[in-house]
Amino acid sequence: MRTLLWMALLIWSPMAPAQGPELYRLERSRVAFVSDAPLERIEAALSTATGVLDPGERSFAVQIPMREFQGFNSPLQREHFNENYIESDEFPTARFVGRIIESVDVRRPGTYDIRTKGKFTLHGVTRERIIDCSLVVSEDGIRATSSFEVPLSDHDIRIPRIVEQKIAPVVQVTIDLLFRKAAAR
Amino acid sequence: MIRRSLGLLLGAILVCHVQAQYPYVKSFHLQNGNLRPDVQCLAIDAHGIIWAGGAHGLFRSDGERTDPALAGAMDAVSAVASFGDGVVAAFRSGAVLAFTGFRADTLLMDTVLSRSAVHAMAAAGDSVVWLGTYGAGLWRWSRGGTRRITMTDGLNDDHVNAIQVLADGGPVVGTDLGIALCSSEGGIERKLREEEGATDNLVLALALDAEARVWAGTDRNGVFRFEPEAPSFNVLALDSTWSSGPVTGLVLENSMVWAATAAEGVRVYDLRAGIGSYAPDRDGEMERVRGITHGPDGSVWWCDGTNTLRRGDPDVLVVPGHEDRDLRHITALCSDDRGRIWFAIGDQVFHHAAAFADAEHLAEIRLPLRPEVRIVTLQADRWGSIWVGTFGDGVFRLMPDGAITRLTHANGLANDNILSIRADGNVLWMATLAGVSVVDLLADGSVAEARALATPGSGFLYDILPTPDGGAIAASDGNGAIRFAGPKAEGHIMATGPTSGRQSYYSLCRDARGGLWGCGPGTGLCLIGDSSIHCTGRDSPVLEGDVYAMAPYRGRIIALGDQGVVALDVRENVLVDLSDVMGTVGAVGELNAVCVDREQALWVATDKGLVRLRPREEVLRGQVPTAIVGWRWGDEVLPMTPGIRLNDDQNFLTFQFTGTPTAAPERLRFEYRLVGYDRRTLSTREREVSYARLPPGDYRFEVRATLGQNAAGDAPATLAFTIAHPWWRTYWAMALWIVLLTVLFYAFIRLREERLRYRDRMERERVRLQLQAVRSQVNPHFLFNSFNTLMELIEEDRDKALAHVGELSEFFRNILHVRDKDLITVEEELQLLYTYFGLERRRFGERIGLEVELDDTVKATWLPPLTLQMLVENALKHNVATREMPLVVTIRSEQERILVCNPDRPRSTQQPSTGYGLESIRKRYADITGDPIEVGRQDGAFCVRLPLVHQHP
Repeated sequence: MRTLLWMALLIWSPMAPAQGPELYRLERSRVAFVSDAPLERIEAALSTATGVLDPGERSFAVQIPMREFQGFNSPLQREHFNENYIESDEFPTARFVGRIIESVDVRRPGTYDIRTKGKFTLHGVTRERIIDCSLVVSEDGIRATSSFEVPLSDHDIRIPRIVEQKIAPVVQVTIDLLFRKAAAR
Repeated sequence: MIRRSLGLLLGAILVCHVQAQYPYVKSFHLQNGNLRPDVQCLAIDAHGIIWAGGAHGLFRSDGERTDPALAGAMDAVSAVASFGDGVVAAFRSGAVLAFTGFRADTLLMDTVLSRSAVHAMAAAGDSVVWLGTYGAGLWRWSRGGTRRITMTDGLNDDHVNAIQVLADGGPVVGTDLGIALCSSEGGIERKLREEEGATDNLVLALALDAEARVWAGTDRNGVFRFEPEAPSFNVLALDSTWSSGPVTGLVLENSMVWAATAAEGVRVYDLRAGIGSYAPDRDGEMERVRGITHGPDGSVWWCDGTNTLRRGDPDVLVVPGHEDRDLRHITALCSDDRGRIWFAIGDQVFHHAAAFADAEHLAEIRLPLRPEVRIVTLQADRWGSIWVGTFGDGVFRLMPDGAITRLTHANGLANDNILSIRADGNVLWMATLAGVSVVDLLADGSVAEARALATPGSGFLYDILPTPDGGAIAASDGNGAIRFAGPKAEGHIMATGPTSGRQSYYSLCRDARGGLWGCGPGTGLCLIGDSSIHCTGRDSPVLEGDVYAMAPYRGRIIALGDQGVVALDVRENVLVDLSDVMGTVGAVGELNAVCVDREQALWVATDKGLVRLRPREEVLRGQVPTAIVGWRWGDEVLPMTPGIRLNDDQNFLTFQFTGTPTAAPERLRFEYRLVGYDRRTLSTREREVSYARLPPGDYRFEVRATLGQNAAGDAPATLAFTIAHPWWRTYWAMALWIVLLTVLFYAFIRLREERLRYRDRMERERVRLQLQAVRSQVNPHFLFNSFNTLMELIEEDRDKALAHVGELSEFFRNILHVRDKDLITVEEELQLLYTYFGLERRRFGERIGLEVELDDTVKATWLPPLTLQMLVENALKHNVATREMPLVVTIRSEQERILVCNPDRPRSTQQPSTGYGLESIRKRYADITGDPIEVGRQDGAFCVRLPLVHQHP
């Protein structure tokens, strides 16, 4: 239910009138991943993630359009990423919907080390994850940075034996998100 | 508040060293056909059966055979817990099912649970299940209904990660916001959060210990313990320097804390040694542990999301290294009466607390040995000093105060190559390469004298064992056992082994009853008496190889060889193979490097490290608890009700059974018997047997699991049942049969009687008819007329007269011929009739006529003999026949009748009628067919209608 609610919010928030809970929207984002395999290191990043944060409920939802990842070592590799591994046509987005465990007031300026807990969906497979995150709250908004591992086997992403040496079984993901209070209209 | 909890943390015992020591761990791989289930959660039921849940569904296994309990793409399992005789499993579809054997019952079905999956479950008794959901709070299920406890009811948080049920039935609930203590009805009674002293709010795992304390595994700060009844909880952190990441599961078993982590496998803390021992998973393969549970045999099982399960055995501890010391090359081992273990590596002697806790450190004593010399034997004496026997440099004595003294052949020893030292009060016995040496000690422990005893043979001795009478026995190379009557006596070769006179023994020990035991290459275990030697176990595969050490242990003799471990029960003379359970197959030990410590643990020095064995009594007895897990009729699962009655057609039965998962389920053998059907006990390695076409009767299925070569000792698991007789063999059916038979018999008698009567009547009728026929044929008129005709003919025409007489005799012969028959064909009757009519025609001439119009089908029908003849005769007898108006009798068929007609012209002078003619025909037809004959006058004709008889009856 929570997921549905948040997905609805995510879609409607740009148009929603400023009423109900005070929401923060994801303004700037950088999501990057590194696959560090013995034979090849693959890096890619995007800056088009969308998301909302409710500081009152301490809950949030972030959505990452998988097709937007840029980088890679070749255009062909990017195509493989989208078609063979992530299957972006079928599963166009990755999502992390959850909440902040620590009872901190994320509207008060300061630096907080927090844990987020929620459902992380990638390649159509949802896993419940606890992800450590650091928050810097300032005038500018709430900046969240984190780095965590995503084991490909957790999300039913199969690596053919022939490229085993080129794709790491566990991908390192780093995120840097800036949430700002949604402007009232 | 945080400051206070920090203070508590600092008060906790600190962990100082990381050591590589681990309980013996064995891997199992679940597989069903080609399906390898991904195991995300685990539970072991009361029978010891493993229930493994994952994305592929729920599976049941005993480590060797895996069966799907409910498996399919839609049957992903999120949690499983033991419940009653079986388990309860929560499916991601929102269903919660209880499984027992083959049976499944739905406890709950709720769409809320499909969105907020069940993360934790715990049963309180047989009637209540607590469910912890991911976002929908705590649920209490009972037969009476389901209750939800959420944040609005005061629960810390709606995300529940772990549940344990206390003795009073109230659950301890681990949430994202600390721990809640609830009443058995679900009321929130207390909370333990960071404010109250918890080390971390995010509690992922819970376990209870024997003292009703709760252990909690957290996301960030490892494991802490608290007392739910204490006013301030008395929180104590297990390891304040935790760095192994989130604790995903927790088990307390056998005074050990098993903490499953998300990054570093399972860490084990031995509480007997004080909090602090640490053991990473053996080969680091399974780093991300998803679920952990413990079985009824004390084993701990865990899974990592693949089809591999791990089983940790708390009875077997292996220490391959300790404090950077490699413990795989220990050459000698002993224990002292202060609870310490002494061992030698190279030229160093170490001692350590037997509990192998971190609070104790390795103490190290280096001896001045020549480089090629090694330490072979260690022995503690009653003064607390340790005697060190070397192979080349004599004997060293390590005094409790740290002083080291040395004895060599210069002091009177037989040889400087010592193989074994054993202390017996004030006397030390030593086995050397050149005979036995004895050291006498004074009351203060100082050495009085060392001397060599005269030893027969080459004097190459492996071991020596003091006897209660003050003497000793030595194990020699090639001369069997050598007896020394006292510390100054000469040695004598005792009765030698059973194989030959030149027997060698490697090791000696004394059992609890004083019996002396020896073993050597190929001897088995030999009880050495004064005049005879009895050996057992020579045919055991474990004793086939080299047996390197022997020790008395809890009423048994434990022998360790490179083929495994056996325990000989001295009293029962039963040999139990422990190799599979102890997991030491392949580990090779040092000669006689074995000891039993103060706490009755057996220590062995092997090439895999120092091994501590603490086998439980049932393991020593070789017992394997057996359970019948289910039975089926064809594909239909039957309830496990003892004494159940089955229908007569439920006679194709399959029984499935298992032995409680031990270390070696693949070596389990099952001895079974269906009492009432099998004449003897059968043996199988399968987990199920089938019986087809069982006859009705009372049965009892018995099965008993045994491990390896061990004899079956346990009581078997049994299931009694009855196959009912089929309905047609029940008592009331029998009674019905008897009634039915009586009725049938009566009916048969009646029918027979009826037929006899009919025959009788027919017989009488026929006799009368014959009589009448004969009488009618010898009717005086007929004869008179015939003779008159004959007289005329004789005069007129001789030839015609002769023909007439011929026809007459022919006619009578025919009558005689048909007389005995019931029926003749119409054809035959017509022949007879023509003969008769010919005779009459001679008399009447043109005045009579006969017209027969019958087709062949009618001629083939039947009728009583002389019927037509009698009717024609009647017609001629009663009617007027003149030349002008001839009397023509017509016979034709009409609608299934034979019609016999004649013009109705009665004579004025009637001949007297006997009345038999028509009446007799009527009667005979009435007996033969249902149709009566019809007699009537119409259109001036007299007609008789005879029904056709198509078949001879």
